[in-house]
Amino acid sequence: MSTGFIHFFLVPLQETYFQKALIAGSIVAIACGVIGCLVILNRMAFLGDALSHAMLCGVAGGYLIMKLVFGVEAHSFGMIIGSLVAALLAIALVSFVSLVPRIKEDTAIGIMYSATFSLGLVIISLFIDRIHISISNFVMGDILGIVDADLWASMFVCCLVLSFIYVFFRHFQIASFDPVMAASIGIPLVLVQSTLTAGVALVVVTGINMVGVILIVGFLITPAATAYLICDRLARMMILAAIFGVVSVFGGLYLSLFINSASGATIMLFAVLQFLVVLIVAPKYGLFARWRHSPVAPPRQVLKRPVKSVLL
Amino acid sequence: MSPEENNVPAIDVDNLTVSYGGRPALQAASFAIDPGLMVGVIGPNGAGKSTLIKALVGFVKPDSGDIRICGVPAHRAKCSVAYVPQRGTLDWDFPVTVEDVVMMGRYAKLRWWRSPEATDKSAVRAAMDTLGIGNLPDRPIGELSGGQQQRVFLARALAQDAEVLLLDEPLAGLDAATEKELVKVLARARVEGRTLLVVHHDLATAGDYFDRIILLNQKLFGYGTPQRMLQPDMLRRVYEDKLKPFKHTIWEAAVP
Repeated sequence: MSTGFIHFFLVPLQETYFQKALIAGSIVAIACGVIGCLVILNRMAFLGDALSHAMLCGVAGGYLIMKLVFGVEAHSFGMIIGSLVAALLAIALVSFVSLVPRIKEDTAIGIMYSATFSLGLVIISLFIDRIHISISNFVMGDILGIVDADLWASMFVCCLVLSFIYVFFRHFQIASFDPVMAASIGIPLVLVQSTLTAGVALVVVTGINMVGVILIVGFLITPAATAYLICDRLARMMILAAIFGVVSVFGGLYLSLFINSASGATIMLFAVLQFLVVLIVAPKYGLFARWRHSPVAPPRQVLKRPVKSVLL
Repeated sequence: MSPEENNVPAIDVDNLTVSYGGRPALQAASFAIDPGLMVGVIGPNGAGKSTLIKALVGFVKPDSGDIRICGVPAHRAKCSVAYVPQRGTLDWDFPVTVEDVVMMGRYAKLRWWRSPEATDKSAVRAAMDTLGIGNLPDRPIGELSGGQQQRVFLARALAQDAEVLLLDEPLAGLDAATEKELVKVLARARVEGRTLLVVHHDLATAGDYFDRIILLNQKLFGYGTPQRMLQPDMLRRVYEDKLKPFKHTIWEAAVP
């Protein structure tokens, strides 16, 4: 029994594709977890959605330019630069549309992320003989098909983003918590916000290879939200989010091997399960803790909101 | 910086106009506050009191007008400005502890590559002890009572050791004892030569607390001593007769 158990864990490790998946997945999970904390505290989750959908456009554009100008097929850094340009373009479009007071930011994001995604699809279909991008890989991710260039790219991006957050931790903390105070001590809020957005865009670009467009936002915010349920300090929340992310990658990859399912989606499901468990058992902010601390007979008024009063 | 050694106003606002998406919040407000004064900002809801403070710290960009703090434009101010936010505007679920928040006061003078040093830590300790929250350093801010939360942000302002303090409703929703204690802390800061601008909602106490009063309702209705500002005709104009139902109680208490 125990040899079978060890066998189950060791045999996949001998495969190069599995090693690369674990390493690249963990790298992206760490970057996603750490920056994801800032994303949820700044309520930027929807922006992550917009960025990730703009990526298709950028990847296609980068692919096309590298191929037409330099004759290089599927150049990793070319596609990353293209994605960054697309991300900036998406943000510019969102702020442009939000100039009219009646169009709120979430509406603008909703319009623009479908617009940029469609543009990407149109470009790919127009140049279908030149661009060889698998839409399904783009949407679902292809963590078992990681090539070395992707690995290096994600390593580079991860180090860049993490060192920025480490060095400017105080700036990010105070700009998220009390932006007016941040302004009063001369922190350039616009610069901090743009840096954060660029960081999210970078992480999303590298993460799309692993888990795909649809799931990357979940990857960004689920481990961070899980850590948020346990932590009372930002630095600890970031470390724990990174750990939860890495655990999801390991757990999800092994599980997908075991039940023979799509890897990216299994990783995400693992992360969500992890979140739900913590949501229930978290010592201070979990549901158990709330049930335990709530008074035996809730005041009458609470009962008027049936669903919430039953649950909470 | 003591008030004697320079005659430059601590806060000098000239013709300040601020608007949000075309809606005016402040119109052509001008006043100059001498160093070492404690000034109350009085006016109805939506009068632009918070906007004034946000413009002073450079958080909102004025449409026009000039702001000088200690004689230089606000964004290049040499003397530091501490800010105490209105309690309702913060996210109390944010993962920070009491000590983290008070330490933010030290960020102003801390170079970005530096970690807090012993002097920073002792300043944070001293500020927390002054406000009676020295026993709560590791408490998440969300678990504090309203009065304790207000103490934390006042401690942050003290730890910052700033010449100018801008406080947005620091005394709102407190019990009488806490209010008294915090007012004492503010008064001590003034004795040390600091300049305080305090948004205040309670006409009944304004006369006792402040050296000067700013009457604000989008436009500046007056800046002067409480005796001159807290007159029934002045208040009636600022509050546009909204005080009518409370006429007798409030005005009688307010007029010194």
